[in-house]
Amino acid sequence: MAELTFKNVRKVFENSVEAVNDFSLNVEDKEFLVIVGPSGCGKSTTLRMVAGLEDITSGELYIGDTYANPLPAKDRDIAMVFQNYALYPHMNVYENMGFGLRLRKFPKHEIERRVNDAARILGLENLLDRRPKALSGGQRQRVALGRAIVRNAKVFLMDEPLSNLDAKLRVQMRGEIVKLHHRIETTTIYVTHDQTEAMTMADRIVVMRDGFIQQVGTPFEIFNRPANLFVAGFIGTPTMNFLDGEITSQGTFKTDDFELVLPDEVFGTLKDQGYTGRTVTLGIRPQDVYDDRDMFDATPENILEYNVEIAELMGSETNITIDVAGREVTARVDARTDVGIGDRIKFIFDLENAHFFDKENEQRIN
Amino acid sequence: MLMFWVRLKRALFALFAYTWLIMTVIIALVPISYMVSAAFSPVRRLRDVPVIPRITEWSLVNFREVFTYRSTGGQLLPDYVQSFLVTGLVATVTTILVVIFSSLVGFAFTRYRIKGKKPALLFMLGLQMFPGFMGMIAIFLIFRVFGWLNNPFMLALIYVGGAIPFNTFIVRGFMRNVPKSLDEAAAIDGATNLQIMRKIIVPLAKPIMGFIAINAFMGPWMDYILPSIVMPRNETVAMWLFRMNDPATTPHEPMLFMAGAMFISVPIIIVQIKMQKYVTYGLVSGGEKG
Repeated sequence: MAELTFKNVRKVFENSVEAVNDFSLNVEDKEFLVIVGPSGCGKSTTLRMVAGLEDITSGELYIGDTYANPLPAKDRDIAMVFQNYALYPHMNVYENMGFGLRLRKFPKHEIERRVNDAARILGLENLLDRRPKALSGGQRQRVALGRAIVRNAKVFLMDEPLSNLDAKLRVQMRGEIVKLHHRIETTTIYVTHDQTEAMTMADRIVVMRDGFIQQVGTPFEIFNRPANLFVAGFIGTPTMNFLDGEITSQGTFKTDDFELVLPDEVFGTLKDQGYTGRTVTLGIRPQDVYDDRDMFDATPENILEYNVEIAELMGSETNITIDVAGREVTARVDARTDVGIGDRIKFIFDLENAHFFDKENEQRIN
Repeated sequence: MLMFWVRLKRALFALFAYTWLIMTVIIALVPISYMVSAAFSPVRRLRDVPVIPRITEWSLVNFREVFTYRSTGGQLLPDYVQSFLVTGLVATVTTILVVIFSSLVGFAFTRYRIKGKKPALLFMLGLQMFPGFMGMIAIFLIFRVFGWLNNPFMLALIYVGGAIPFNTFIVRGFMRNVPKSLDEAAAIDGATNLQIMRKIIVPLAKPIMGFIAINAFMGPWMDYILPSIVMPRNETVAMWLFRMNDPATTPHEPMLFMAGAMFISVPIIIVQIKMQKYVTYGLVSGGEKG
């Protein structure tokens, strides 16, 4: 087990594509860190640099106290789970899991003990003499995990390990990986493009885009205080609604079609930052858009009324897309709300929980 | 009624297909059967040999003669055994070297970034365009200058050199389909490059290596022209066969020719059967998401 330190790590590929830029981060011992971002954001490259599968163009990487840049993959004492499992097809499950130990010349009984332990944890006891070909996707995934845990490595790396599984199995394995991490407590870096996985599994999340870190924080921080427009839009389903408007000196948020009175505290912050009279982007999560009377009574001046464009019953709630003068606003309302397409609907934004972003540099204001 | 016609059609088709197949088999089998029959026959003249071997009248007299026949005095071994051993040596050395070198080079070509990799591959492919005969005179002259004539190891080297480019190509094509993430997984598991090749790639490439081994063995075993030029005093089996069948050089011995020819096919059959089990596909599946 070890902590991991990145200092201004940068990766430029031979075709001069800059995959990762100025990546500085300290991963604590026993932490479960998730790197999330859209495809091509450099998250897998970052992971592969830790693994030693890609060279680091510049910057420094420390695994524990060891300067790891020049170390080849085999000497880094890390374990990795690949997206496509990468099991050795000509070996059975036992051999697959024991391969790393055998290469490191562990005594036979020790290999046996460790592989059997891992197999018990992962429920693979009855499959030990099967070849990967005779396993289901979920079982293969478990073997890949097993191959990583028998090694007792300093760091675990997981590169989208669940993206090849079907939805139901994915949710189940998600829980199992978290449980596994609690049990063995190895420092883990987990790469995914799935923000739900990031939110549910991580101790801390790193959001990346175009090779740059956008924000580092706990799932709570990332969700409730996104650092910029990109993070706000990337994390959370349904996606956050964005509306452009001007902050007037009267303490309102004014668009061409409507005007909302801002709570004093919110306006105070915006005024202090010097945004009075300027255009900002208002971000509001669908669950902060309400259609019930209690909220209307508190600030009746902020009630909006527009047509429903789409209504999707999700089961526990209904996602309504409202046509607000040409812009789409999604609201997540109670599933018992009976609305259909084309209906007029009254709703209100919970501005206490609204996010404001600078229109130019897209950074968070409040 | 309709059923009747459909069935008739099917029956006729089957009749035609089976007739065709049986005829093909007969055409292929008759010479072999004739050879076997002659080899085990006690008669002295080829025209007295029955096409179908007669189990009641068989004898090993031809084999006895083949194994003890010698054309000149003073040799340690009879001609046939000698040529058998020489050819076996050449073919075995060739097979081992070709398999080792083609797989190493093929591995390097699929797994390493090498400067000039593409031109090198094209060059190797281009070399295949020229028939081996073209170099025959040059090879002979080189061999004479260096005193390599009649040296089976040097002959093997020629075969190895000739076989590497093409077989490298085949190996490369196969190894390219072994996913790179297996190498990466093995590297993270602590394997060196050589271990990755030995423990991961080669076991997975066994089918193609079996195929290469068969080809590498068959070439030297059956080749006549090259050994006849560079091994004038050190016969290979093909040269021996030629001599047995050539009335100009030796007393014409068709029965010995038949016995010798039959026995020559034994190693090839053994190699084929041995390697057959590797020439099964589908081993490279299952390690990854399909």
